[in-house]
Amino acid sequence: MTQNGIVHCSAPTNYDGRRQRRYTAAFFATLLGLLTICVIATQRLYYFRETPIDFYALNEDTIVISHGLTRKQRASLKVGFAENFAPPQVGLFGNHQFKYLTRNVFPKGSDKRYFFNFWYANLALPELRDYIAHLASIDKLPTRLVIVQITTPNNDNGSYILGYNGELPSDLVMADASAGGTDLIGRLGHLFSEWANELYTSFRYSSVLVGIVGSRPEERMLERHACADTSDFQKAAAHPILLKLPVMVRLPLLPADPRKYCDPSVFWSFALQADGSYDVKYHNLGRPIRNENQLDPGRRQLKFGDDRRIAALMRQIADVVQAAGRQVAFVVPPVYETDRFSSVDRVFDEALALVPDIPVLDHRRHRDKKGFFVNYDHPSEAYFRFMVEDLAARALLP
Amino acid sequence: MNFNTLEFLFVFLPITVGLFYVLPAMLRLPLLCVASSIFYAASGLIPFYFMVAAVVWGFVTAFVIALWRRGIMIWLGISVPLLILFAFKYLDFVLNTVAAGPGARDFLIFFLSVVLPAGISFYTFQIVAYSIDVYDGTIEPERNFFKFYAFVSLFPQLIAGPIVRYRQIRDQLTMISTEQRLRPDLITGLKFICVGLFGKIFFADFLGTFLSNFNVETNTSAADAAFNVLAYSFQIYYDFWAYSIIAIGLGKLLCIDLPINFREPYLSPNPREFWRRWHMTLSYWLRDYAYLRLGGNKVYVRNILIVFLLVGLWHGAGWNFVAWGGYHGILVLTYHASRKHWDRLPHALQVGTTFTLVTLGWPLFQMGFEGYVSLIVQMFSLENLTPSVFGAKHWLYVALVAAFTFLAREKWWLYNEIRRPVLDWPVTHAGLAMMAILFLEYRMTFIYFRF
Repeated sequence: MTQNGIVHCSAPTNYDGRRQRRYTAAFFATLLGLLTICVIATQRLYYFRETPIDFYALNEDTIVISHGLTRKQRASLKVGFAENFAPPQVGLFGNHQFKYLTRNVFPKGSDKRYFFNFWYANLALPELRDYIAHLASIDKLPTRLVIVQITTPNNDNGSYILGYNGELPSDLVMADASAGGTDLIGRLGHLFSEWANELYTSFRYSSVLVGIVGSRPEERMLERHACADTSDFQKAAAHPILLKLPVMVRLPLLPADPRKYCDPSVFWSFALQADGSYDVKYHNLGRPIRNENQLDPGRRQLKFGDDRRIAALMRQIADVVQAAGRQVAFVVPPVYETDRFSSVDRVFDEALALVPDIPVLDHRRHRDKKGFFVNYDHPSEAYFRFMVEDLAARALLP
Repeated sequence: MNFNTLEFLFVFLPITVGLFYVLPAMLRLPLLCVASSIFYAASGLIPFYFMVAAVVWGFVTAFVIALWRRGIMIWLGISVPLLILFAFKYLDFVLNTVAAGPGARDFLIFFLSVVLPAGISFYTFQIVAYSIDVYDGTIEPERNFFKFYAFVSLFPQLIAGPIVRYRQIRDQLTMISTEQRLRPDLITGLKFICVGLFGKIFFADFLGTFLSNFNVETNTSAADAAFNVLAYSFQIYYDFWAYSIIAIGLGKLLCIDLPINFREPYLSPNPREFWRRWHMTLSYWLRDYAYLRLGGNKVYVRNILIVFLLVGLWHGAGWNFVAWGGYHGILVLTYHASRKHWDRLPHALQVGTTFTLVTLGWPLFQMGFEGYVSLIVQMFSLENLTPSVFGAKHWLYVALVAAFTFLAREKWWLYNEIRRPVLDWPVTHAGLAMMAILFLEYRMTFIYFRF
């Protein structure tokens, strides 16, 4: 098979065409069969845009368990709420970097309808633009202030600032022509990437599993006090052996009862609170590590010329929000790091210089305040209070 | 574009292979050039433009080199590809080393802000080898630009090798562009692709996922530090091994034989043998174009050190990579000095020692020099009582990967000419591919893309 370090693929002396054909046919028939099973299974997934959850109706004790949901299902939790219920006065649109932002840090945060955190996944500016434009088009934008969080360049070496990451429901992608999505090549590219995202959802083991076993949306709302004593649930519903199985196997076999999500260490770190945030106390984050991302030059994700793309996206978002009669503020949080050079930071500086008239809370310089961080890239409550003070000082906060 | 993406597997590959066999033979090379360009440009246009510039330069200057075989001519031929490599890969490192100020960085911001072009070290080495071979007179300059472009940019091996010499592939490129009826070994091709995808996800990427939660700067237990060192050793091996196997499999679908790049390197009985089995095409490249030209065995110690420092620098622009290269140079020299005793050791002990020494060097790929020292200190610190992050299931997983690595010989299950029941069934290979596809969310970029 090998000669002088070369692998001979053709093997002309003993080439058996019939065997090759039989193998190839059996290979592709098997693969096609398996792929078909996956597609059928994932067609059974439910989404929260059809059966939306009213977060305003949740009491402080209730959490929405998102463990085991696919990314698209998790996205539909937030989008479904935004589309179907009255908007809050202030809304935060961003990604996981702001997942711990609660309404408690706002002076008027006791009002449930004052603030909602619409963050999810790894939303970057193009998807935030489409998301916000969509809500504007159905008059569901927050009524007073739209806060847009931009991923800190040094958070992930420039990632998740530009580019589509397949997080939005596909019908929202570049749906608003006035928001800058008019070029044909761009649209074709996004059609392709949306199609690819559908493929990834269909052929993901978790989607297939959830699709095969099925589950109901209502079982995901858990009142935490119900977990004080789950012995009756366990006695009635679960065999002791069942409770020792791995989570992914155990969950589908247990009855549709929220109490199966009572283990905080497993399920509550992926649970949304009534204001859309995660509760930081269920996350085992250790302590902040300075310069955790080494900013490997070989992996940087912002390049020369991206400054203009960033500025254009910020401009489009600001135009959409201001046309709807709301105020907009962009926030760039710090990450816990030393004052170090990074080309992605420089590209981002250039971008901000192109939009001097747009309100931007550029907090990157607060990089060394350890109390502002729960870990390298997730700000703490202290930072969020500081951010709110800054918004108030700029007279942006209602 | 990555091999381990659905876009590649479900769109790019079927279209390219389909067209390859449908089109007339004379159009196959242009097709490969276009497909490879799309494959590369999908990751960014600026790197693509520079790759094209390097290819055009290498193609044109080869005629000049063949015409005037003078030393200055060879430098002319390799200067532009090496300059491009320097600008994108080493400039940042040099500026850091000389502590350049903001003014210099502002002036060079274009190069500093362009993402490191994937595979730049691989294609640069192919062009350089071609120019040197033309200078030596071992090959004639290629007159067909499509053939030369396909040689450098061939998508199966463009990003992370194997590093191909022109004389290895020239006749094959001629064959596919002249013979209308080709007989590809689809069985081996599909098997290699499926096995490679499975190995990448379930060996390399799963271990990588475990390690992504590990940070040496936090308090680390000795057991965790040891786990990191061991798991990373298998991760980097299977990551690169998988790429090479997939590349060879893809080549087979196009009736092109690519050289193998690994021959069970972790079963090597000594450090010198390791480099004859690990990234073999790089080792041979450095032997032929650096080591022998420096005088070979005549100045053994000096040349070995120079070559291994080059190996380190080739892998990455950083002192940690230089240190890694130097470390391997010292290992090879140590073996050379002690081979009378070393070779008398029981074989299992030789293999175990070599594996341990090689494994202890890998974390220099992961982290800076300070982090590396800290990791090694923590690993051997007996007073370190920090609770472990990695538990029994993690160790069991590594143990399974280790058992497979050391016990399952490739001649039994990968390069076997006699087809084995179950292992070589098409259903098994389709099942492996399907498993890899279902778990693609754990995929990581191939580590060697950075090089």
